[in-house]
Amino acid sequence: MSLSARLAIESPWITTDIVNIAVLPYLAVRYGVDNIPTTAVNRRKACVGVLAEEEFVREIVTCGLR
Amino acid sequence: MLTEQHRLAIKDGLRGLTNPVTLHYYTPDVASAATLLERALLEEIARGSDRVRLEVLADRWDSAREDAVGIARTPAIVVSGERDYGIRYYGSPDGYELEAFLAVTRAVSDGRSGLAEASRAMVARLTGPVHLEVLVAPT
Repeated sequence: MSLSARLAIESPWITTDIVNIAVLPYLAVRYGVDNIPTTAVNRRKACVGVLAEEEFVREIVTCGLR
Repeated sequence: MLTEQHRLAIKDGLRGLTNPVTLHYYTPDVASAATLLERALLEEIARGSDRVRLEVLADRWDSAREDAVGIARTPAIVVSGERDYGIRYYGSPDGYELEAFLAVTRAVSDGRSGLAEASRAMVARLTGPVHLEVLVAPT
């Protein structure tokens, strides 16, 4: 299951868009996507590829606290 | 095109939902082949459980309404349960994404993230809005 959706359920501060790049290809260009999935946090590229839960959450929270 | 395999996966994936889930489907007033397929999939998902309700909003773009909902364009799918958790899908949750979408639907119904305690503790440190965009591939 999408970890980003789990995070959105967990915290009222978090929202998530799960985007098929075929329908919004400009986002792939904006974030320089060269691997899937790619996650952006507050419009900055943050994580690439499938990460373990702990690593993913740490990256998201670290970016979110900047 | 929906297959028997889709229907079985949907029935199986939605079995035993605890609380109601609403799928709001914001789609343009002029349908396309892609939106018709996406709508057919969502209708099948809504048929898969009496706890899932599909609401189709096939209207012209209404920027005030869309701003209030927090969607950037249509078509978009908003998955909400007891509250709106801020989960939006752009693009049909078909193929490999279907199982993930059904899992999200189950978690929204349950109202629990299922994250590990350490993850929940990290998330609790947040003090401001965090918007995630997860880019996935078409299948």
